[in-house]
Amino acid sequence: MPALLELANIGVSLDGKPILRGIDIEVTPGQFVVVMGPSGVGKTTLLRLIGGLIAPDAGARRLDARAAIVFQDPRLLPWQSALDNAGLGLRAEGLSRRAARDRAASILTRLNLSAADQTKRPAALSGGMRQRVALARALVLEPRLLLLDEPFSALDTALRQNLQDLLRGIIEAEGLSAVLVTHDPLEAVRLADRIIVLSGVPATIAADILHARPARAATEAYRAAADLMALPAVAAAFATPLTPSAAAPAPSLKRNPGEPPEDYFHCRSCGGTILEWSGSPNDDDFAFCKRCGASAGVWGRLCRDAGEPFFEAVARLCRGAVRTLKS
Amino acid sequence: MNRARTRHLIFAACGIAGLIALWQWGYVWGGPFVLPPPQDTAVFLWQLVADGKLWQPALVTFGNVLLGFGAGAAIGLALGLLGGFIDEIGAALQPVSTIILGIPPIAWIVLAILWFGPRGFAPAFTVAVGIAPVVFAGALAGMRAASPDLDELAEAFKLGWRQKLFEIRLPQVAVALLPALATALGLAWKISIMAEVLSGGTGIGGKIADARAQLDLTATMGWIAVVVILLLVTDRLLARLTGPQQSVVA
Repeated sequence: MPALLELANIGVSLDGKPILRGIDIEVTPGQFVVVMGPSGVGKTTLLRLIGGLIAPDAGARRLDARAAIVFQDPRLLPWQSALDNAGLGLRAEGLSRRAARDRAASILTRLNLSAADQTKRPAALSGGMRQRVALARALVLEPRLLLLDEPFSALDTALRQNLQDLLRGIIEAEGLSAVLVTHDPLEAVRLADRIIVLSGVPATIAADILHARPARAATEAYRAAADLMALPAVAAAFATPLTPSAAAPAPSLKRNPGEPPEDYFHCRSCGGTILEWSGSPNDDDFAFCKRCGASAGVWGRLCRDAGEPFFEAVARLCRGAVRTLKS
Repeated sequence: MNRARTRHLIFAACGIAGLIALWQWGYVWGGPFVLPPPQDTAVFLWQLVADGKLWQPALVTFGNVLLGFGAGAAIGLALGLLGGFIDEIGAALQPVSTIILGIPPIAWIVLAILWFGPRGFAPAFTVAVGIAPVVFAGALAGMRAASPDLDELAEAFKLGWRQKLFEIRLPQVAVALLPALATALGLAWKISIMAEVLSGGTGIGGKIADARAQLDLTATMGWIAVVVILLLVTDRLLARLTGPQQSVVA
């Protein structure tokens, strides 16, 4: 099957600093590719390159399909209604405002945004609704390739899973291809057919994994995410330090009142290394070793729902963790 | 009308009532040669309306404000947008704008009277020169504060220049521009009256100058009250067009 997108030996520099090097990626029709990597590695740069927003310094980019992008923040126009925001790209193609609204309304309805909410401006919508409008703005263009830059990262876990399911349903129903950028292994294993891991400065492809999509069951997804992070190449990619200028600020550890300090848990594999928790404060707490990348398990909804204290849950669930008191 | 709005209006009315009370106290304390009694001014205003003597001067002044505000705002907006699109032009115009802004309106009035004569375009010209730098600064600030994320959005969705201008850029410029326009409107009334007082025109300023010459404090205060009412009306109209937060007087 011919590829929709072909990147051959791509190199990208921004402000004279090399960001990507030797990137080879092909995306075939219907394929859902997830690009993972630590914060600041160049995932968004790769997506912007695919979307034609930046040009490569080296290599070739071939895109044989219409692509539409969904940014990390919804980037809605505050002065326009949800309907007009969703129809922005259609108006650029010459459709009248009315025709664009009609098409946008059908997509927004499919994304479960009520008719009343469709007439509201972004400020009157919740974060999840805003992201659905951003998704609709891309989908109304009927792209064959959807480019998604961590679109759900600012949403809470339940809403994110809901939107992931919605997105996956639409992509499967329409036979679309997608490239999703994320740092969340759980999101990757929920959605991807194929997972590409970037690492280093400039970033290269550290791992390219064909992935059988996991079942929707949370436990299975958690296990798959843990296994993914335990793969040596993936663990190494996340353990490789980025230069300070390239790295985004480290995500802060989510804590509940009375929780232990950050260095409370240490890795059994490499000894004494602090365990890092994946992603933003809204993520499921996926634990792995900062230094060696050993999977330590997860502390997410399962433990919270059971009412189990944070450190007890981690001590029980995290196979690689040793609980030590700091003082 | 919601409760908060009613409460706001009640307090606004209390403020105006307090100001009139202070005026009355000034009259009682200083006598009619310092301040005329508010009721005399009200009667004067009523007579102006009843005799039909209000409309002609009000229309002249309103015309000066409209012409000067329209021209000054159009020039300031055009140059501000241009300066925002082309950095070099913005950099060249910014000090010019600052210099013009630093010249007191009274100096422009003198020049305008010399150039255009005591009647005619002098007040409108002075208004235009006085407000153009204010609108320019607002438009330039709006252009410079435009979000690069929205520019990237426009690029990603392949928007044409018209859509970029009217749906992306101008609404962002409006955030900084509308307060500048509201400020410029208030300024336009003040400058116009000042120019008319000095040039002795047939507008409200001319009437104030006449009243001053005759030491008629009641007429002076009456015409000042007319200006304040007209400013409030135009400001409310502008606020209605641009959102209540843009009002200069509330």
